[in-house]
Amino acid sequence: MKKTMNKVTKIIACLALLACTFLVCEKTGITGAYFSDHTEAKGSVPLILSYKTELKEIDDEGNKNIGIKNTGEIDVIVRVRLFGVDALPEGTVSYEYDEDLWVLEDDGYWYYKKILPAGEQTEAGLKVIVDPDKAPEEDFEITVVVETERVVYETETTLVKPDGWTYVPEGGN
Amino acid sequence: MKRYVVLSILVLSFLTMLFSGMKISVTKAAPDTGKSVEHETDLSTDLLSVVLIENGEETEDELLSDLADLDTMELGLTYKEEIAAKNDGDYDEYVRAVVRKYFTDEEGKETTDVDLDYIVLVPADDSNWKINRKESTAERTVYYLLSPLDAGETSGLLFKGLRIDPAVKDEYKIDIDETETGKTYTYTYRYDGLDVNVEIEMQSVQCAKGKSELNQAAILSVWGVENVKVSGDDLSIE
Repeated sequence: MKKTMNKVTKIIACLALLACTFLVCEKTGITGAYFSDHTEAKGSVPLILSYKTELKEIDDEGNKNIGIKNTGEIDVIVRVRLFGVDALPEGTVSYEYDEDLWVLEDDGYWYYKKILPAGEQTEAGLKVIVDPDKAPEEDFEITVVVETERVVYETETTLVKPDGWTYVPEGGN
Repeated sequence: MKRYVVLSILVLSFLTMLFSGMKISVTKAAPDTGKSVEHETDLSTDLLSVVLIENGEETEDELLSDLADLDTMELGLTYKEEIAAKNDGDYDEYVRAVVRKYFTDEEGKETTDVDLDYIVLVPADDSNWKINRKESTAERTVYYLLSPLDAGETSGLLFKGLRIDPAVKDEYKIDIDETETGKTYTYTYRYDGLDVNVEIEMQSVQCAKGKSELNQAAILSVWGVENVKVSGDDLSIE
């Protein structure tokens, strides 16, 4: 009986020691239990890179009125070049345009001075007027080439100039 | 006999503490730290709390809310995305942010073999957040706020914006279709039509100021990192 009591005493003593250890750890802060918290959120935005434009060339009594429509989903910048004009007698071709919208640069390109937003058309066209009195009698051809580039921002208000371009409009959203 | 009574009280006290602790611990799941935290015991979250701040507002679940109406992100343009953490609890705390960025296709599946560097989370100019390279990958970056965040305080900015590197448009292939009137060039862009995704998880662990040893143990226990060291009350990353 006494032997059994001793055994019980030892077990209780061990548990008591554990309890004391726990208490000491708790008081001194040595413990495996720490407060923690977390919160999370997520979101997504589409990225579209492909784009399409259409040349809207209106034949106006032998003259050309060049407009461009952005038929894609992203904003673009536009420039136009006319081939065949230099081969004509001087003064055969003249241009009618809004100076706030078009500018002729030294590289021979006409640059549209605004960003052309998705789904929109140039506000006013570049009108190419041919003087019939100076034009040659034989057939001649003027070829219009339209180049577009997607808008790439350098800062919030300035655009990156694509390779080979000498002008870009101001940016800003 | 008196001895048995005293010992029995001690044992009962121990068992009470033990079981009360276990009961609480199973009511709160441990945060996903990417490492095993099976030994961790969260006692409560009532008094310790961290919230995510986006453009000055508290947010839960939803991020990039100001960009939700965009048809597309413009290349190179930095969109305002100011991210910070706020301690809205009663205890001072250490905070870290686990940030994921990735692309998904039109079916919502995460794309592989893509360059995630095109998604740029623009860091704040003067930030007290520092990347732990040992925990970070191309997709997942872990930032630590180097000073404890006092109760009621908001941290400095972790990010100030989100931007897409314009070089993303340089990955394309060209198909040329020759017709009688000329050639048609069709550009197919690698990243066209993908969605840009950002996930941010703010995690916090209690900071007991002046008890660097305890804080070190807490960080190791909860976050499972060994190269984040407590010095004074601040953190450093080795």
